[in-house]
Amino acid sequence: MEEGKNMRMLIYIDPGTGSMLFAAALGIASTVHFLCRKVWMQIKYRIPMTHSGEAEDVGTAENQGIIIFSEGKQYYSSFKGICDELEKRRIACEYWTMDDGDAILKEEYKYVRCIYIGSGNRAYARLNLMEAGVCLATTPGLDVYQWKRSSRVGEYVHIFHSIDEGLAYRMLGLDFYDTILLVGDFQERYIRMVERARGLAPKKMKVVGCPYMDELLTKKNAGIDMMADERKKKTVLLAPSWGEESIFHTLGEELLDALLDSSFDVIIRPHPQSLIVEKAMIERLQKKYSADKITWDLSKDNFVSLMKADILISDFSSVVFDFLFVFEKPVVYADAHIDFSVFDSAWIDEPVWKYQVMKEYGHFLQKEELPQLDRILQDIIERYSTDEKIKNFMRDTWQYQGEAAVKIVDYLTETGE
Amino acid sequence: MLYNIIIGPIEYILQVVFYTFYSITFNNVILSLMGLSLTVSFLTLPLYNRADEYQKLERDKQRAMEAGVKRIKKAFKGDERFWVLSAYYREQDYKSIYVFRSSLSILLQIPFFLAAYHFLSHMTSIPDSLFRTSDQWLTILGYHINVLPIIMTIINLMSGVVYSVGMRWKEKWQIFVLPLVFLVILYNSPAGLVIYWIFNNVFSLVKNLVVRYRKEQQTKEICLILSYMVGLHALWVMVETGCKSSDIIGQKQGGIPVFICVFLVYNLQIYLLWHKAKFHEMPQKPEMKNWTFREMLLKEGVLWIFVGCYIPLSVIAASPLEFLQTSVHEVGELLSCPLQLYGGMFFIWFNIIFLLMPQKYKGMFNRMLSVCISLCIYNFFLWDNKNGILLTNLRYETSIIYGQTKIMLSCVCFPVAIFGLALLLERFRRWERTLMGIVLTGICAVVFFQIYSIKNVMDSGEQRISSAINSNEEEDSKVLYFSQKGQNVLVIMLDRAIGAYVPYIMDEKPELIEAFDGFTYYPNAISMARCTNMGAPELFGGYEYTPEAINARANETLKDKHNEALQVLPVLFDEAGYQVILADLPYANYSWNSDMSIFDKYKRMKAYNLEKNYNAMNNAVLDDFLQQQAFVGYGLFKTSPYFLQYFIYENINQQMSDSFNKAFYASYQMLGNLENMTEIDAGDRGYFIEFNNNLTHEPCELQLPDYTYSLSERVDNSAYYIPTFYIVDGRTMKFKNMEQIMHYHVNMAAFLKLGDWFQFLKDKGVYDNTKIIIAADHGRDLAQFDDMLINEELDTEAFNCLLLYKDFNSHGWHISEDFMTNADVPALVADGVIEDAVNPFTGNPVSAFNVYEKRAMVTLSNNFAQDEGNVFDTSDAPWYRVKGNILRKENWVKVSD
Repeated sequence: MEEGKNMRMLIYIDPGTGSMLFAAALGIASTVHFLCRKVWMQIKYRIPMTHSGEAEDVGTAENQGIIIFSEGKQYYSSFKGICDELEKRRIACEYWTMDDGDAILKEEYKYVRCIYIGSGNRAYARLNLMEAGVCLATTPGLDVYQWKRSSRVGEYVHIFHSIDEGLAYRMLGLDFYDTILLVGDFQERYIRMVERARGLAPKKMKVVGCPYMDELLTKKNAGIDMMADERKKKTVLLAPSWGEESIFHTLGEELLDALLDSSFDVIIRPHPQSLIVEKAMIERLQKKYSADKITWDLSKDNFVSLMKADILISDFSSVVFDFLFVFEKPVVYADAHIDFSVFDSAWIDEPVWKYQVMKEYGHFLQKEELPQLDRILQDIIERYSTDEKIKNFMRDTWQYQGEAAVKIVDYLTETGE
Repeated sequence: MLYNIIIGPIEYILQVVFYTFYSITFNNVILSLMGLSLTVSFLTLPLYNRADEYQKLERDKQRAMEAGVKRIKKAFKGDERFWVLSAYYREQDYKSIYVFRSSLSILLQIPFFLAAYHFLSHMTSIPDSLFRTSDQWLTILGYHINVLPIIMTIINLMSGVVYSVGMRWKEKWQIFVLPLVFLVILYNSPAGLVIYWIFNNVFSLVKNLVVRYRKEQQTKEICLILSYMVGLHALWVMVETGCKSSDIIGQKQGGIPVFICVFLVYNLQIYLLWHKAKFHEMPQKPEMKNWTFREMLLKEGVLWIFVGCYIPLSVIAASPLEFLQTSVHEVGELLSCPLQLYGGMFFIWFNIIFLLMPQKYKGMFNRMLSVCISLCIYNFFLWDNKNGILLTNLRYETSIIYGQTKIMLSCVCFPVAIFGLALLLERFRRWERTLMGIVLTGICAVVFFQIYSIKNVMDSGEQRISSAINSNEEEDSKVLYFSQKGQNVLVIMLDRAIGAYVPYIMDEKPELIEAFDGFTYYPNAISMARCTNMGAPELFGGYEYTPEAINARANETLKDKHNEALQVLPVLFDEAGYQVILADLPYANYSWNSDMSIFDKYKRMKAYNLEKNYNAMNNAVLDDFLQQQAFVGYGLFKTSPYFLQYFIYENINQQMSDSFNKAFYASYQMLGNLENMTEIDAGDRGYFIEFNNNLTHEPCELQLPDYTYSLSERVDNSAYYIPTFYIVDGRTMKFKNMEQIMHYHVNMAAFLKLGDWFQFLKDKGVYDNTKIIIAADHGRDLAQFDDMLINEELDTEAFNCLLLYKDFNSHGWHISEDFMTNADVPALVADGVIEDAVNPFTGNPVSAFNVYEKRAMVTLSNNFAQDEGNVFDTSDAPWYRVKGNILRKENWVKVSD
């Protein structure tokens, strides 16, 4: 009876208060749900509740200076040059990788301490307890997913491992970095647009170039002679992205049939993610398209295929810029109906930069053109030449060509000081 | 405990507010409810506004994030959605916990509602049917309709209409549906509660109208004027109540001069504080901001220890053993309620208010706390009123009196003190923290010392009590034996029973005349002392044990002489072959709990502690909440300005304290249980029964018309007219205050209980062969009879002890105007039973009327607690010699030093 009375009292209030309490109750319910979910996620992904804590051996900032973090060997090209430069300048630092097959681990550096930090949650646990003056990484989604900012890191610095406007990461990809080292000036405009859209404080930005592209260019220059003898027939490289909207799905077998019927040798290089999530489809296609003229490149490094190819067919992959800028060869792209809603680019009103550029400098392949694909590709190759316009564009987009590692190390050391 | 800490302080404040309104509106319940509702609404208004601000912030923030959240929710699913959403909130500087922040203030209102609800639904101190039943104002076709809940709903809906202007229907529906739901739920609630909610809703409606039509300024002015008027009226009533306290001793009331004084002083104070001191500008001063939260805690600590610990301990330390008579055996138990309640008030509520208040007021709040501490200490130490003896329920034994001159002086001094202390604290701002630290350390040191000494006394007292209780381990439920064939002699002492009441008791309950068949009433009887330690020995031992005689035997200890007095009659009757049965003889072995082991040496005698057993039973049943809460009220009372103390004591603490006390209930139960304790012996051996009962010593309001008391139902005499005076045979007895009324009630109850028992004895055939003497050790100076007020220091009522005598086979109701004293009791007892009775200890005849020539030496001393030494220290008051008619002033002769 008494409890009933109290209950009646609790809910009996005037309209204003009633409305407030109603809102408060709803808010509290959703907050409690949110907090429970957070705790569950922290348990599920074994993330420490706080970001600071006792750092493990690897994280002692004997190197209060620089730590480079790499997700794996695919980022070799991005970090190799930087590590070399640091070694050259005798700057003590650490290179943390989540991949025990990372080739940099095998480098015999004296000043760069290369450490395999394990993979998965173990690696994230260490990352989250990192202690450093500055941490350099290519990995987006800092403090969004499992990788949390450590309160013992002075500055998180991001570098790009490809060329795009900087909005091709999944949402909030760069938001929790302190500094973005840019490939070219043009990126700043886009990143600032997103910052404004989200009401964020402007991040520090500096143009340093792209170490990945530098490395690719170096490799290309070294590899031209090596490949010269092997080139007999024109080769087309088909390098799509993955998922429902990729050209494997949009153009599919019609494109492959057209390529099979063409005079070109064909290299098909599925996206690494396709090999995981679309494995059955890839295996079926592999079986069906196993003619001599078709090569399935499933290796991690795309360099050889890029070198061999005379023309690239892709959809939305950044490889088009590798091909265009480093190898200076023409590009054909297909409408891949990519869903941009998950990317940072969804926050701005302008069309995606990459599409604009490809429209300008590549050929948009439509389904109706497939019967004449051979002729079209021949024409493109014949007509293509790196004119002044594209050179200017390249210069503006990819700045400090060949100097990125130096520029980055300059920045890191300045920051350290 | 949690309730005491969190809700308790608010409920206490609400009680104070309600009872204040109840008094200043001259007991108008509806106006009091309105005052309470308005006060609660005003108190919670800042919280409400704060909640509104926070909610606006929250709403704006949510709105700013809405598009982003929508985008994220649309783009992601599962865990990723959670990750991205969490990160987005973080980068927007929004924590999900902020929902709590915006809800905090509004949630803080819940304790206010809970407290108000708990208080109003448990209100039994005001016997108004509004708190018991729904209104049922309309009756249509035989159906009762409660109108108030309907009015409440209409107002609530109107308020909703105003509040929801501009809102979408989605937001509106709950505002309109909820009142209808509440109408159903609250339809049958007590009318008082619904009235309270109605006022809350009216306030809400007015507030919404004000907000809507932006009339804040005018409303503020109107509110200020109204508050000023109500405040002034309240002050007037409070001060006047205090002034009236002196009316009881015949002084004139303050009236207009006091009012003018109060009016002028307070207007001057407001003027000074507001315009000259410019307190309202002080928050802007930079040094005002120079405070820390630690400093706040320090001050709260000082206040807490002082009011919650020091003041209660100062009461307990005065007489620790009295508190042992309750179920409490540890000092901590006595302190738990004030410590919890004041702890919650200072450490929780003060800090919550402090944290929620706008930054600019925090410095001022901190300053006010310092002034508040200083004022509490100032009031407690410098404005102490001598109020007499404090009982364990923290009510004074007698009505308290506040002098008009001092009241007026305090009216003037109080604002001066506020102003002066504020200036002093401001001047020595940098020493303030050190000063508070010293005060805290000092109070703590005194508190530790007090606890230590109280504990020592309590521990030794406990041993005495346990030995007293152990002395009747073999106790049988049938302890009072009456012989059917032999003679029985029954001596009953009723502590503090007032002789002058008897005609009124018999007039009101004429059936008692029959019940007391055979008794002679001696209205012209006195005791020679006004307290038990001096008045009881003569009752049991005769004229050799009057205060004067006891003091004459200066070589023996008071304790020995007291014990000897108690043993005179038992030994006489034991030697005469009577079976002696004794119970609860007062102050036996100078123990508060009657150490009856003094009779252990008389193997044939049976000695019991009957009341103590009932006390122990009560302790198991009752909690000590009321007594503990009384300490809270006592703290407020003693730290208030002098001119408000009487008002707080009489109009607030009185309402909040139950008139119940355990000692009363034990005595009441014992007297009501006499029949069950009685056994009839068919043999011819005589019995001598002598016991004491304290029912008449423990004033308590009882349930009319039968003067009963039940633990399960609170006394509610609202249905009975209680006159302010009672005339019998042309003599007026005043009923001007509860003290007087309650004394009469317990005396009446004792008569009724004894009457029932006598009827039982008659039924069992052992009444006529029983000689009965009912006497008191002293009376009480209650100023109820004008003819008893001899002079300013002497109210004969204090000495007019009850004396009733029934001889064997006596019948009828007789009144004897003979001058008697309670020292005549042994002679009356022995008369006709033991021939030439001689005091077994002194060898002097027990019948000693002639020795004293009917002259009594009366001490006015109130040294009731003396338990050491050889002679009574009566230096606090003069002695009087009296003989003949005690109502004649000339018969009282002051004995010069």
